[in-house]
Amino acid sequence: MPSIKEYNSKIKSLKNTQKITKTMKMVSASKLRKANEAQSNAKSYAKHITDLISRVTAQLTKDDHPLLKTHKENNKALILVFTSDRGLCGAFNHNAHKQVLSWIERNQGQYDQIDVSCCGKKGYAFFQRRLPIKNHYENLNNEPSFESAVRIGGDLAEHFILGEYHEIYLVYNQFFSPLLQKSIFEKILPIDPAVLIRRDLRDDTKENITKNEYGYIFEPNQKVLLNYLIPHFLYFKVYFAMLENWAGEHGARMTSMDNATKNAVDLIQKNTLLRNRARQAAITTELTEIVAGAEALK
Amino acid sequence: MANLHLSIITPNGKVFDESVESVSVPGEEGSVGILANHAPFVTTLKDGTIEVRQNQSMERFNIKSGILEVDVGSEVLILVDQAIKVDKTR
Repeated sequence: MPSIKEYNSKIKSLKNTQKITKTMKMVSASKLRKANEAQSNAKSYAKHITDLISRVTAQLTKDDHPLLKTHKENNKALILVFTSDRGLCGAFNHNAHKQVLSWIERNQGQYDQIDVSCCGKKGYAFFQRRLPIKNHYENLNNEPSFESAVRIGGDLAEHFILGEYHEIYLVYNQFFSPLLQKSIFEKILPIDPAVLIRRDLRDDTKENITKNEYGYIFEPNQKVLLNYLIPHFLYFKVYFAMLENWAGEHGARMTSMDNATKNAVDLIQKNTLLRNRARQAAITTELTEIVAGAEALK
Repeated sequence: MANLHLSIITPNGKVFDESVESVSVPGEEGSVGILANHAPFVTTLKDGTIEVRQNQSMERFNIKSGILEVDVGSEVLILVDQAIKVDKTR
């Protein structure tokens, strides 16, 4: 049986662990709030950019922009994986990795080459030894900015237009609640023209006619406007994935740290009980010894 | 005088959303000034400064490339990557 002293040091270290996990939970909670705020701020931009595309053009075809065009061959794919930079967030990163590996297993026959780009250290560490890495974007996960999304999106667009890859996919964790994140596997390039035009405007031909009657003036012309809007739609998609991933990371960390704190509390309780029992046993032994000694003197 | 309703939106949220008298922006093909009842109009914007006039005061925003839309009913929408309000005191 361990001595009282051993129990004491064990309890002390457990208390320290509990302090750390509790703090980490609180830090994540405040970061999660920030991330949620950024998400809701981003929503109005998302709505307006698709509205605007629908207004600039009523009908988009695959030939309107290089990012919409499907390549003739289709055997090189790039997967952009969003993960966190740090661990201690439960199965968060593992889910994204699993998603990628299972997709590759299912579609291996279709592609000659499947590469991975990583955003986040954890994903990089995982895929480094498994798959060819195209790009690794570092230090972007703490408060993602639109600027970095433009950088990543610009790279993706370039790879796609130059024909280095024929299809580009995004993998990230979508945030539903601190308890639930779902990893999403999504094709972003080529962009499907159907998602760019809002359905309510597209289906309702009457609305389109009235819109056209007003006769929008385009300066310099429709093509230049689309050249601005369509890449921005892509950048925004990347930005949105970054935000979702950011929120998801902190949600996941919050839950796992909450669990860790609970476990630490349980362990402290259990060990305190054992320590008290050990102390009691020591006292009892001592008493018996004294009583036995007194008996012997009689 | 009739007013315009101007909203400036970045991916980080709404920067400006108020009723104004006029707004002037750095359009792709030169500076553009917009008053109420402007015809429906869409243009891309260059890096530069947006000037918003409102009750004899003026506000400035430095922007990084964007797009402007004037809709019927004097609704003006500006989508930009980044907009920073210029401090008057400086």
